[in-house]
Amino acid sequence: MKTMPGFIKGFRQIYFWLCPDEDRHYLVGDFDEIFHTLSAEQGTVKAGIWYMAQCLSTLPEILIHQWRWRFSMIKNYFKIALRQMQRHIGYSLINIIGLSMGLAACMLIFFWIQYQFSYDTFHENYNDIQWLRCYQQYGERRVDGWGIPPIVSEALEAEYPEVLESARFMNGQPEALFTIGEKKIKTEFQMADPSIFHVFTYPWVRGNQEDLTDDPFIMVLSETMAARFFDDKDPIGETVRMDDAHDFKVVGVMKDSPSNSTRKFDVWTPLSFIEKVHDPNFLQTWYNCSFRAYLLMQPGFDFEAFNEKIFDRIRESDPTTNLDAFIFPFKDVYIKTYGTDEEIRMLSIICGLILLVACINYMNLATARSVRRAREVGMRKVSGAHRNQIIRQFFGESVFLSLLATLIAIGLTILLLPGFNNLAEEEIPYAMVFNPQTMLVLLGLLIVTGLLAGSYPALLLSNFKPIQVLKNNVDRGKSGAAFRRILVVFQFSISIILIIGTLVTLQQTRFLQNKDLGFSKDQLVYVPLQGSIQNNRAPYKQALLDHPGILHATASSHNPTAVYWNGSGWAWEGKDPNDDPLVTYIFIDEDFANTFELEILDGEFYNANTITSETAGVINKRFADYLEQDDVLGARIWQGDRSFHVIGVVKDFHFSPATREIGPMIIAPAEDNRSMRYLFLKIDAEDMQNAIEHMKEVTHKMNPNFPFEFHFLDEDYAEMYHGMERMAHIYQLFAILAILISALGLAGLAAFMAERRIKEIGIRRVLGAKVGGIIAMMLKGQLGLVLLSSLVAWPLAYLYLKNWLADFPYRINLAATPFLVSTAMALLLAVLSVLYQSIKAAYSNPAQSLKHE
Amino acid sequence: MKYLTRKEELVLLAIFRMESHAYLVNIREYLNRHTNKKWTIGNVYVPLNRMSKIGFLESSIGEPNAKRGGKAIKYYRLTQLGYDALLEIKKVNDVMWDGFDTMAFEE
Repeated sequence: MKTMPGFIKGFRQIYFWLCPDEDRHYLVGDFDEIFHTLSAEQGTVKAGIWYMAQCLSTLPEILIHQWRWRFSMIKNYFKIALRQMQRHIGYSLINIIGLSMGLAACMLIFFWIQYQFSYDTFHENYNDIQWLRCYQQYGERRVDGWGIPPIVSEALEAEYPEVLESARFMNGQPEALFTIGEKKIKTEFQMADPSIFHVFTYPWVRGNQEDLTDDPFIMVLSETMAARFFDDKDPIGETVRMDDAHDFKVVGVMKDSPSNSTRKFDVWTPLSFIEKVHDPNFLQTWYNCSFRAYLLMQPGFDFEAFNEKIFDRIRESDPTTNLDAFIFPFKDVYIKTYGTDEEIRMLSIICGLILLVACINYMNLATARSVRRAREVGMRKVSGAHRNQIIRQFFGESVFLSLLATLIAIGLTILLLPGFNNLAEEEIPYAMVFNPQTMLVLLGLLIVTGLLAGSYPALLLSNFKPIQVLKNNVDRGKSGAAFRRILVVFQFSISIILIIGTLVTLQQTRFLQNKDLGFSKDQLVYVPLQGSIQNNRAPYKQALLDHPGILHATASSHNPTAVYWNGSGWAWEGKDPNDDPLVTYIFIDEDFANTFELEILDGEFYNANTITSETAGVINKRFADYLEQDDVLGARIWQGDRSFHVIGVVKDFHFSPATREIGPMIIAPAEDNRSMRYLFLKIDAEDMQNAIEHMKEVTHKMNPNFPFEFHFLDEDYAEMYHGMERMAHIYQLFAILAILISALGLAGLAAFMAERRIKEIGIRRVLGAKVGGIIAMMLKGQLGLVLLSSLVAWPLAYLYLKNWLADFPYRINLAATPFLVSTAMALLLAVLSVLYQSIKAAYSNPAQSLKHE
Repeated sequence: MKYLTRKEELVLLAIFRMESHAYLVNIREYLNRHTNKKWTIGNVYVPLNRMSKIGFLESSIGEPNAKRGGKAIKYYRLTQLGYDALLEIKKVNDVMWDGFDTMAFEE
């Protein structure tokens, strides 16, 4: 007898798996027999062909036949499931609503996460773009810098073949006044290399991208900006005048950058324009870190090796520098450097917890009411159902229910998406609901939910002994009662933890917003110093102060919301050589302390005389502590050839978000007019309107080429913790959802308990129990569970939040309030959800409830 | 009630005619020979399985052998129910077919 060829054996095995259990051995045997007969008569090849052809033509027939038999059973399960839902519509609704709320929450979170990951992916090369950054070495301390000197990327492009192209952006987008014919528009513009249009994807709708030249006086506008500048006119070839000084020719109009982009701009001008206008060597330095550089790399280059090669590149050309270059994948920028990964982690955990809470509802209600299904299970078992079949039936039911819930959840998500976008301040498109990836995740979610929710009921119900069940001998609804209580406690613990977390996050945000900054930010208004008022600061300031409503005025290099000029290498007598603090400096004039109401701790602030001295310096308390000298006044501090003697110490004030610790600071007189960029004015609250009118008049007169603008400082502060507040609101939404779902489940359980104890209550009533007493009895059990949940939740929440708060240098103390409030909330919701059923049960007529037995 | 399908009827008849040791392979051969049609294994198996479930056929397990890859044979035999079903079909057929060849086909 000839042996079978290998590939036929493969067919044989597949066939064996697919055939119906009871006959697979005989069928395979029959096949083998015919095969061997055929191969003896006509050769193995022909027999092999026959075998395959037979398999292919026979399998569908057998499979369809097999499924027709199974289907009749599935039809029965389906019918029973529908009848159960119809008969107990209340419970089914609770189950479905709970599940669909949970699923909708998960979908929103999933969209949000997916949207975060979609950031910057619209750039066709986003996988091959690397962000060139550098470490700044300060003594022992290394800071990951965001910027890089301008020449580095060009040098790397010339030296390494794996760098295909490089592109630089100027840090930040300055504002300028653009004149188009009669129209004057003030807006921000981005200076960058023309190569950004190759490295990144900013598709043009007008103009020819191929014709882009190195001309420093060209401009590209976004569609929106082109419409603002030119209305309906074709902007190509038109001239735009910047700050009344430079003429730019518009060469292209690009599509607006999508909202999920980290590099957005509306007006592009070449970087080389600065070299033409200000400093011809501006782009040739090895030290000015004001640039963001990106490299388009050869696909598949060696990331680690390249990083090693370029590490010393800056020091090679400029041995005095403290910068070391490295690259960072552009695709990770949004997730890893914007703090998004932490938010994604938090929300993923919350998503899982909410789903769990919703599944527990289903488990609890299904098992609580299992006694109603017990007879059905008994009957099925007696008629020969295997335990596995019963398990499959109940899993099928939960999956079916979660399918319904998923459909509702899709509808809910569509309804909620605009509101959620509003809350999260994203522009998640509706299209995301229907993309294949979402559908796949949804299917996965559906199956996981179905299996998770169905697991416990299926195992519990399939375990019933038919003989006991049919003799009406089940422990009426008690099966798994203890486990159900544990699950309820678990649910409420999760909800309470989420609520405590939200409350504390909000509290910490409020704390930061209202924190004493060390100066008074009220009634402070500022005007940007630009154009002619920047150079004629003193007369402008004097003209403003002429109005009685303007109390003080001071010029400053920075807005105190963010003073970002800093440097190391400061020295003083007796300095520990291993210690090299980063010192922040701000340039001001002599009225700074008055205007900001700074508290002078020691010595004095600048006056009209000392402000012109090149060696007088005022430092903050933190720096004074650093000096560790008995008498700080008169102490000399120096950096390179710059040297100060301390004439005063001011109380520490916040010059960056209060999420960062106050560091040492030097408050110094301005070196030149150009570094003074803001004029801060203290305004009399009584006379606010007139003062602002006056400001407007004076500014118009003295600075006619710029539109008048002013800002309230406290509005900047309100904006500062906006991101944190936004996340806190998102957490809040989901925490509330979690507790609502839990309460919904508790309401279902209460209804079940009331139904089960209706006779007991009837008897109690007949024997003289009061309605109030019965309601109290019904409430007691559930409220006990919520209190127990609090006991579980408090320590966990406390530990987590203590840890979370430890990252903030200025933080609230964990008070009892959020803990008590969250428990009170849970208790209130629990009472509300249980109360109705309890009252209904307590008022039920004993004659009715005791009538049947 | 539902009548047997034509396929089922033929399979039952084949088993009836073969009297003993009817199993999938020789039932298929028998049908191939007498109906002048190619029967696939599935064509034969599906009616066999269905009629076993209804109770028209009973089966017994034979010995495995090397030619069958070490798998046993499943033999089928007609039951009383199966016999009755065939009988019923035959009666219907007799009535319906009666005199067919003597009738003239009129345009």
